[in-house]
Amino acid sequence: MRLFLKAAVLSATILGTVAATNAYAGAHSSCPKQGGTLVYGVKAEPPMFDLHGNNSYAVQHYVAQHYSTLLTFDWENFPNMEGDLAESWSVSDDGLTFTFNLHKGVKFHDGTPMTSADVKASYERIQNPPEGVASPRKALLADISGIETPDDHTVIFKLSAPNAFMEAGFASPFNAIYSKKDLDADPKFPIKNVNGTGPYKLKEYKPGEAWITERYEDFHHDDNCLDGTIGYKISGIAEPMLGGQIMAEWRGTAPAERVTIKEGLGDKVNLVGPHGWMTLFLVSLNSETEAFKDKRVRQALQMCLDRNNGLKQLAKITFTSETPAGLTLPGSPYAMSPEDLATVTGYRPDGDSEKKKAMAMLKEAGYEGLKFTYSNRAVAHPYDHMAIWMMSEWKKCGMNPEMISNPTATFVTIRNEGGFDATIDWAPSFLPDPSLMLFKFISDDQTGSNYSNYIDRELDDLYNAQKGELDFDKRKALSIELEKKVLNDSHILPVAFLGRVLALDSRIKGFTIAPSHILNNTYRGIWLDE
Amino acid sequence: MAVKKQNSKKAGRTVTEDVLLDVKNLRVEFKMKNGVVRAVDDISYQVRKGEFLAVVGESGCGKSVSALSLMRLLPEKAATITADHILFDGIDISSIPMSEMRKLRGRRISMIFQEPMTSLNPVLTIGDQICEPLITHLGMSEEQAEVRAIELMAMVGIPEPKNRLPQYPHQFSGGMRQRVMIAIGLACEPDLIIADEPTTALDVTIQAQILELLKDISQRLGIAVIMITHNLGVVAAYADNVNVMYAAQIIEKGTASDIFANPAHPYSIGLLRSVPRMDKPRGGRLATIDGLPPNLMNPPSGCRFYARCPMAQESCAKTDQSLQETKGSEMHQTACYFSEKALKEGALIYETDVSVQGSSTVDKSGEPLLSVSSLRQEFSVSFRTGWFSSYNGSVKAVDDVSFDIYPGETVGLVGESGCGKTSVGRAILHLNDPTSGKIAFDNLSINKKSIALVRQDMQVIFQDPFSSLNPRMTIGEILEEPLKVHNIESDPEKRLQRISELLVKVGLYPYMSDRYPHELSGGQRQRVGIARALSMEPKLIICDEPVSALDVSVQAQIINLLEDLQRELGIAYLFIAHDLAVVKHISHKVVVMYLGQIMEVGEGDQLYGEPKHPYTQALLDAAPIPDPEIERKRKRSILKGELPSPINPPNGCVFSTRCPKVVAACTSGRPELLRVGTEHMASCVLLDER
Amino acid sequence: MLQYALRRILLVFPTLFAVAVLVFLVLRVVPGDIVEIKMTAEGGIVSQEEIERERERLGLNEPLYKQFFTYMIGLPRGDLGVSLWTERPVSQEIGSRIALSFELAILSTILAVLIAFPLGTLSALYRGTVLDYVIRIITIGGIAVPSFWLGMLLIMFAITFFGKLPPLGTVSIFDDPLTNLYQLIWPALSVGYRYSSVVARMLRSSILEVLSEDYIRTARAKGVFERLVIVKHGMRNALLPTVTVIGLEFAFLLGGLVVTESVFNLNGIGKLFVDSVVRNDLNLLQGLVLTVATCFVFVNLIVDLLYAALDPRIRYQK
Repeated sequence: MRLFLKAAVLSATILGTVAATNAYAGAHSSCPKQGGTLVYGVKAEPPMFDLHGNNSYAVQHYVAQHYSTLLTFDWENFPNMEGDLAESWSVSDDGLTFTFNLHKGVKFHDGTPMTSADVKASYERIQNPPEGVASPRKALLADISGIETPDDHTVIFKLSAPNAFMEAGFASPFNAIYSKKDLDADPKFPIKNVNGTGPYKLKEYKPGEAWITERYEDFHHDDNCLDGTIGYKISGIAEPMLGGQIMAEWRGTAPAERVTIKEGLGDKVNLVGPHGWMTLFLVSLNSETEAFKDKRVRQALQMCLDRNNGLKQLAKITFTSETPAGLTLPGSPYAMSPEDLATVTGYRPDGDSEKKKAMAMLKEAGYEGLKFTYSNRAVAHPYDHMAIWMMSEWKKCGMNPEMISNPTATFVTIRNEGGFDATIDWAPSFLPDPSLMLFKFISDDQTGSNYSNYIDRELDDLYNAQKGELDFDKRKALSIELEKKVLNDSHILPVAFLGRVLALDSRIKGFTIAPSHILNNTYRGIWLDE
Repeated sequence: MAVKKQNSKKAGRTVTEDVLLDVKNLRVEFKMKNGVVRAVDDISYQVRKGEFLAVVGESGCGKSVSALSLMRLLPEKAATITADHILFDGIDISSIPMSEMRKLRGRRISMIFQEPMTSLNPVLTIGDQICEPLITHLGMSEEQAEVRAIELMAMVGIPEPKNRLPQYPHQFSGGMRQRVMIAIGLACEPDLIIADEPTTALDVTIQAQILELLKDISQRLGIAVIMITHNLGVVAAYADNVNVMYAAQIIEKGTASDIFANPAHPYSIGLLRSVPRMDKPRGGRLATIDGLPPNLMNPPSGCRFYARCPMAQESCAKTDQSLQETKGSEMHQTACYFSEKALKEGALIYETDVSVQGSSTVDKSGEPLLSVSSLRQEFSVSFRTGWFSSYNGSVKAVDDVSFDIYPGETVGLVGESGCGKTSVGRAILHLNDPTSGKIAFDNLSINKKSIALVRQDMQVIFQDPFSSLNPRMTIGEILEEPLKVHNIESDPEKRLQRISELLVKVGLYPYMSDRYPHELSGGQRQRVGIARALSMEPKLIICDEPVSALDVSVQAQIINLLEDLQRELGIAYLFIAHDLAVVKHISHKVVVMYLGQIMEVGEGDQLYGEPKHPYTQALLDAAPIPDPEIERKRKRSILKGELPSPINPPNGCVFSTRCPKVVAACTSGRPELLRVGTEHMASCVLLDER
Repeated sequence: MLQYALRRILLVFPTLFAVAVLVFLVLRVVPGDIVEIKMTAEGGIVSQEEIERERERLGLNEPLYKQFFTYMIGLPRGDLGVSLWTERPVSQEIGSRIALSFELAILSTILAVLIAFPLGTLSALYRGTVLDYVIRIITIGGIAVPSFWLGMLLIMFAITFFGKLPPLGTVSIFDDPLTNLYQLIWPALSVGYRYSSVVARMLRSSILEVLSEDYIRTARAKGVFERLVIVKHGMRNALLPTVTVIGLEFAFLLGGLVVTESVFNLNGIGKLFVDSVVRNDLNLLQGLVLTVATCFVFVNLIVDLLYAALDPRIRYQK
């Protein structure tokens, strides 16, 4: 966490003044040591290989290493950006034109040269997916009005409106560059095939079992230090780590797992983190529930959650962060300061008096001893632990919540169809940008994932305003205003962000933890000290 | 097996040259959880070469255990065997090591067991099982053994031995399996065959075949036979000498003629008296021996028969008499102080109840109580006949059977197993729904629905009293249940009163109502079964083999009880049994069945005295009479072959395939049941031609 | 024999047809749909429109009867459809994993038989002795201890005493038998222990039962060597119920390795089962249930035929 804070403070200033030509070629220049195979585990199975077409982290952990994006992040100074395929890039002052100069001599794994046409084809595929191709994040690119390729190594993106998120979007790990030749032959090609310009080439995929890669000799950077990587499908982290079957798992470990692994392996393992993790767990209150139509009731629920004390305890038993948070990752450039947050409903310091106030508000609203259902996902970490904490907090306020736990599929259906009063919910983001982190909380008809189903045009206006505001300070002010309004309306009860801790074999060097398991999965810069 | 030598004293008797087996003071003890049971208590006897010795006695008297201990086949952990010696042809088999004993088994001493159905290994071929001792003991090659096995099978009367060699036991009938057992026993031409109840599980006609075979072969080959049996008729027919055992001891031994003609022990006398006799007219009560044998875990001092003996003196309770020569004959020995008196008075030592006179007479002027006409019972069967084929069809278990039972009458139903007699009983009770025919009870036509109306008036007693009593209920509860269910007695006090009366009526004690079925003896349990039937105050009791699982003396008690109840209450019985003598004794009228059909019906004396149907004649011929004098004079014609498959019965007369008097007309059609006398009918074409 | 087997095999088809219909219908009743999970459960920002598009694409918006029809006409051609998750053919998904499950089941069976036969026989022959009690404690343990828990113990054992677990990733037994056995020995043990306990107890009680049979007494009375009495006369009869137990357990294993495969990270159909349930991958689930049902039916068939071979009473029923 401390590490990230430092980086964030640093980057906040840089990000604010970035509207100038950038000429980083990539911070990593060489490998201290070359060779070895990185063996890691992935607890999920990729449904497909198409980075454009899904959200699964398994795809990131397996497939990201095969592709390049236009930009990427300087992980040590996150969220500073650097070029990947772009040698340099510039943004016009009005924020409507992005110009990228591409590295020359970059080749796809099949030998085809990479040109600006490939970039254009890839982005057009995301923006306007052909039949049979999914593109869940196409809305994020809606402001792109045209892509021009004056020559093979220059790409110009024209925007219809200023978009503060856009630049970070070019570093999104989902926006991989595919080969136009492949897409012309079959737009669905990347779903079941891999052909990118990334540091490692796919050697073999054994469904349900292993993803085996080898070094791509013609990679356009020189930080692919390994001979290859093998990803194994695993069901738990501790035993494979202890048994020497894997060297790493990239998503995150639970507290108990960490202890077991550390005790078992001692110096042979490094625990990296805890690091803020951009998945916010929250409770969505159903706006159709009669009691929740009364703002006082919603606020009472919000106020009964004593985050200042409770999250510390929770962090000890599951992988939530102990820092109270609103809707944006604490310490990230756009987040509220802790002092500011402490003035918001539900975050005020004296938990006990807040509870008393909450009970008084409930009484006033005529909902003393309120009964409601809480729909939980039947997964131990962190769902059960969070649920137990919140249940007890609400009961302390005299309420009678009833928990209904269901396996994922049923739970998702219930959440979608509104068969709940309160439901656990989450807002995963892959970049600490307000356009991503706040998107979930605008009106139901504007976003696909507002399970409270409320409509609030004021929030929509604030959201659009911050999106179009290129000035950092002004944008941050708008973002905080939106955040405070959501917290105060209390349709949404934030619980906590996750705290990410990775257990890595101590031989693994050159890895920097990022605030999301979606990020930094290309294994660039990683080398093995064997 | 740990065989402990007792302090050997010089044997009192001189051992003659031809003694094959000399058992001296054999004792077998079983260690149980709560004590030691001495199942065989110091018995001594000899068997000469070629002798046919019968060991008789009621169940639990130690006859089977003593035989198994000769072969040292008792479980080693549980049984301890001691003996002064067991000399077999000069070898003391009580002390030789097990490996030596194994060499004698099957080679010089063979054993034939009671249960032919389970005594053969189901997964090995018959040939394999016959060849086994030949290969083991005589070192024959497989080919040689097979040749010998075929010879043996032919010798014991198994048709087509070569084809049957590769077959499995389940493809053989019970009688054929017992023949196989005999073949195995004879394989190595032993000196001694021990046959433990070899025919108990078999029908009377098959029993006769097997025993004749055994007798014939043992005589021809000079093999000595020890036969253990409870059937006194069999003893009379075949044995040279007899050992009578009672409560783990031999209480009398002698030649068969001596034992049957001049029994000198009160127990032997009682045993012989309690057997119903087929050759005597239907008379009064059977003699019984009251009480039960003592518990061998804690036997009384003195004479073990003391408690049941009609001539016991006080001195008998103190010491018991060892076997003493009777009438100065070395061959006849008796263990009784008063054997001379017993010998002289014979049956008179048992008081016979003269006041109860003869059998009740039946009033046939009114309507019959039960009228069965043209009853048919078919069962559908379906099974695989091989890898490729299967059979679907029906078996006629009962085929056109008609008879009447009048109030207070006993109708006996006899026949070999599989003749359909039990099916008749079940069809009347509607335990199986009859295929067709009319059953009228008390002028009420009975069908599936109306049976409920007469259930109370029509009760049943089964063969196995143990399995028909719920083991988790006390006797009182068992008897109370029907009273409650049928609402016969609603007042609980009066119900208890009623139960006590019932128990007394069947010869039990009221305090027994707190006991559980397993605490009672077999005979007592059967009495409970009768009491349960009586509690409904029925007009008819269907008795399905009610005494066949009981010992002779207990059997007599139950038969007497049934007769007493009939006299007192006027109950009618349908008495289903395979024992011809028992049926004759108890029944007014006897129905003989064969393959689902009635062969002959008649008054007992008439039917047994002048059987008209060849099958009835054959049945009577096959059943031995417990009198060696009669048996020796009898010219028996043994029925050949076995019961045909009921699935595919013979054409015409169903008995034609086995009938010794078969003529061409027999196969042309089913003969009518013809009247051959008042109340006497038979179904045979020979009668028709007359 | 052939005809009997053929008839039994023909009977398999209506059975499987019924299973197929049942599975299809039951699975449609279960709420939840794979698209939600695929697009949103892992997170991300997805518009409802995209979700609908995906549903359309996977054919989930088709009316039920149409889906059923497509499914049913595919079956006779062995077409089980495609996995809704990976969109690879279901038969391919199962095919690439079933060999491992089979191998594990066979290995467990071999192990179980190797352990159970001596244990069960000794226990029966030395009934009531210390040896018997020790064996009985061992076998009761096997039945009481869930195999996945034993699996976890074995893993901890291997980690503690060997410092490592076998490498992940299936190695074919034909390519590298040693590594393959090394990978499968722990899971086979964890399943085999319970399995062997069931078999050993069955064997013990059937040997005891058989040894008290009359024909054993007959064999002894014939003077047959004691060893032969037990092996020739006893064992073959005692095997009959034991074979049934082995067969049933084996059939059960094919679908029942779910937890064990997860514990040991084995890529068999058990783990695929779990995964497809979690993902609500109906097509794959249907295929899996049908596959397991088919295996079950055929294993039962084999047991029946084996039984007939061992027991002449069944061979020539009269």
